[in-house]
Amino acid sequence: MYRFILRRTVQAGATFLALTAILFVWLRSLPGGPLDALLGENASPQDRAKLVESLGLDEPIWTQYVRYLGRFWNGDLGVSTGVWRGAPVTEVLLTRAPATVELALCALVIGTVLGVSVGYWAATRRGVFDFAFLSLSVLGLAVPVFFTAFVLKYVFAVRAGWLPPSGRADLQGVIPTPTGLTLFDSLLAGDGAALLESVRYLTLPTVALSIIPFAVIFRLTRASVAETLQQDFVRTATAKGLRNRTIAGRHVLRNSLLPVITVIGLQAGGLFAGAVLTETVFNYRGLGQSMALAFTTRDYAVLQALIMAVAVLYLFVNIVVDITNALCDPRVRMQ
Amino acid sequence: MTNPGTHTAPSPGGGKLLSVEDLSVTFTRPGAEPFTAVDRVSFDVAPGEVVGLVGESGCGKSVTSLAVMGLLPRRGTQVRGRAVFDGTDLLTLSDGALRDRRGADLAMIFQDPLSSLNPVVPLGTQVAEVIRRHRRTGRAQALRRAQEMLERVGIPDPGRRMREYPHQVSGGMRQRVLIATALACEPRLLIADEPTTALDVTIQAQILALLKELVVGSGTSLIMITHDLGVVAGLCDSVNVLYGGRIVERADRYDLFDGPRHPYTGGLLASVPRLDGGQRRLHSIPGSVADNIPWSQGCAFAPRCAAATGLCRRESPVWSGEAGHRLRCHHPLPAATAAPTTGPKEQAP
Amino acid sequence: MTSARGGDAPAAGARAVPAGRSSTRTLQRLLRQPAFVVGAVITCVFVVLAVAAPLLAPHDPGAPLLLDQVRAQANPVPGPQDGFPLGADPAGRDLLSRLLVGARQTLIVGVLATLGGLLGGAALGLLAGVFAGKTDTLVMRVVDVMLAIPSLLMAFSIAALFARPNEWTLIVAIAIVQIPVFARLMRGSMLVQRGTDHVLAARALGVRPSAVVFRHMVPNAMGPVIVQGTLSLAVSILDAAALSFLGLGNPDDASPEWGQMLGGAQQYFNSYPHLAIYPALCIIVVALGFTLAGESLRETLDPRTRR
Repeated sequence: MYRFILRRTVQAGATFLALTAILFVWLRSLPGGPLDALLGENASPQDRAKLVESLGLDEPIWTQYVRYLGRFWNGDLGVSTGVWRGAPVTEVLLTRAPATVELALCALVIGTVLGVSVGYWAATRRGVFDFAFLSLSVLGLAVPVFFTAFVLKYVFAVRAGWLPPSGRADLQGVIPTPTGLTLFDSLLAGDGAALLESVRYLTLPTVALSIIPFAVIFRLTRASVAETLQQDFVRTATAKGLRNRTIAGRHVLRNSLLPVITVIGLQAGGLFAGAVLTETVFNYRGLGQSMALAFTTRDYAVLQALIMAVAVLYLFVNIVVDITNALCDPRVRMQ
Repeated sequence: MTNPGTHTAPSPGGGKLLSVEDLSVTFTRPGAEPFTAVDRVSFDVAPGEVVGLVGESGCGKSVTSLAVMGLLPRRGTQVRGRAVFDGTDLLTLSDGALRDRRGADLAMIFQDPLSSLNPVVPLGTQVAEVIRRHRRTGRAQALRRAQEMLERVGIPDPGRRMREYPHQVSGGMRQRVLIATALACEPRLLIADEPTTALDVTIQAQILALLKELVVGSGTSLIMITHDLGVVAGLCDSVNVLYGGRIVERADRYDLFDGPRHPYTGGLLASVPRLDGGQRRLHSIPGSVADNIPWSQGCAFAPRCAAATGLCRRESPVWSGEAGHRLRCHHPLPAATAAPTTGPKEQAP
Repeated sequence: MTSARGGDAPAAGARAVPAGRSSTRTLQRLLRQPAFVVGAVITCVFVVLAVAAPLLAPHDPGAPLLLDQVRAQANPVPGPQDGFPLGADPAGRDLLSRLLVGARQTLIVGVLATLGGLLGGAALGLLAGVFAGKTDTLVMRVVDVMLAIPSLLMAFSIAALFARPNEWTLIVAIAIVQIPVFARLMRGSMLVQRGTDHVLAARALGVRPSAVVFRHMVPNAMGPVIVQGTLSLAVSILDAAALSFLGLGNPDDASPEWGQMLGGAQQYFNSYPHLAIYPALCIIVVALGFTLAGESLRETLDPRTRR
């Protein structure tokens, strides 16, 4: 097991290295080259000269790459040239990360819990209910995420006025915010009003963002449960006279959720992309919105850091998924 | 639940443990003709008796057993008739009541031991869960009993095997685990659906010997479902031959092997290789099960039967023969000197 | 149904070479599925509209015909009127004509992006599948790295590489992102083919390796790849919309594309949602059509789900 984890981690490390190389090349292929990219087009000649020296642009490409890695290692991700002109990218990243982590986690948890339970229900019952959800989930996959977000915002915020149309609960100064996650902080402080406020702001973006993971996980769970129900061991379990609860939990779900776990990992990646769109619509200040801003302002220092951060998170999530899979499936463990 | 006692021999005419009466199973699918897989099948199982259900695949032998166990999907199947087990009709029991019986009073083992075991649950748990379900025992006690059972079915080092998973052990070992599971609560009836078909020949013999020892030795009744007459010969007290969803011949083991009366049974026996060298070529029954005609239009076996006449294609045969040896055929093979011409006869070399 | 009787059914499990009779049977099976019929009808209507758009469009989609009615404050979006059933956009251009012509642009973007991804991916997968060993490992490593960045995010990053985005940068970005999916599929498919009896037979008969690959393996291996292509068309169109929304699409809106129209309408959403809803509905319906058709194709052709 430990060897398995080690091997997966080493693999992820190799992928990460390859990624840094790609980003390094990416940064050098940007319009105007890295100088324009990192300083903006209107930088003074002095600034340019300074950057040439600090990046070692006059040195051989390999030395440059090693230096680039070194800076990454030290957490120096450069300086923003866009909206946060002059601010260290690391700072932008850290102040905005909690918002996105909170949103993505909420969407993933809701999508997974609903997807798995409704999927199981649909697979065991079939009929009208099953058909309705199947159609809805196919539809959910065909609607652009940002359009869903717009419609939700228009209906529930602009027209009905039930929920705030944009932004994020600002709890700074109201309660202590050790984590930056509004739900968690308000729970920690035991402040009902703050919790309600956080929920109100989070609801619409979460719903918009959770539709795709829900649709994907629902469909997979449904198909997977339907397949497992046909398996001989489920018949054996029934022949043993086991209670429905035991059959459902130990025999059906435990087997049907194995492929679902893998897909949850893949969905985590899609969530970051979805967050870019959703956060922009709701003007929700997280990493996604800053990435969208960075795209429009061509703030490449921020972009490369964000891409890197997302890739690292994604790799990490997938290691966790693989380990979970190995824990749940003895056949994987053996390989 | 107490041990049924010391019935070591079949007690014909005496108390019946299971009595299947006019059992019919029809599969109905929207947009397709209803298909009757089992057509008014009746047979009895006495305590301690081993009853064989024999026939080619598709003859309805598995469906019969699944219907008795209540394991057929409810949607799209129609089950009629009665299956009286120890005084109660299993087919009318509520889900919950049937669940209490399954695994405790009647148990079943299946053909493919690999797919019949849950791949992600340790073997020990899979044995122990049936004990916990039907006996008032704690976890530890159930696991102890499970280990005992594994030892009884001849699994070496059961303590270690308890923690292993199905893919880590051999096919024969898996079937032993399933047998241990089925027998863990000392059921009074075990249904074995082709338990050796998926196994290597050498393992088959071991598993059969094990079943003989554990089941027959303890007075548990056994319904043996198989297409393999060799299995029947070694194990069963009485045999029911099924064709096209109906029982076409019923006799006790010796009668059947010495003098099969139904042409189908004769063909089946003739297609078994014999060691005494009495035959040159193995017999094969022409055609396939797919050639069946429905019983309502005559004898289902007629299209494949050498002895078939116009009568066979018009009228489906009713029961005939004497009490111990019944059959459904218009043109049975002659009694006593049975066996078809191509078939084997005891010709001493 | 009638031909099924008596004819020998294709061996279950084998992905038979689509010969006359078996393809008729497949078609019959497909036509019995409402999902496929709906998907196919939507797809056909969409293609016809796209092809015939210039004939059907009542006006020039780029001409600001109603510009004189546009008032920045009072009336930024001229409403429906004679000859302009859906009204106009903020530049005074006929909305219906733009939607119709948009079908064509959307189809072009979707098809070219998918085709690019399919060909690139299939080529990589072919390399990996034919030359096993080191080539295989190398190709699959590259694919793994590409998969380490969530696909839409990678499309964003690639699109950002271009100083002046246009419809080609959009197509290239989406095509590259699709490569890994097709590469994996093609490789797996080739590996399956390599083990089949007809390939072994061809080899044993001494057929030239290149002929074995291109005449015996590739045609059969392409099946699942092409089915995935149908599904990817929907993804391409949705991705194009997302890129346009972020301003990474084609800024020149003389010949509109639905994603671009949708992206451009966002600033008017709260007052004039119809500007966004029309192109969005078009995208949804078409994406739905491709998805339904593609999934029923996959389910019908995939022997594992075949009943």
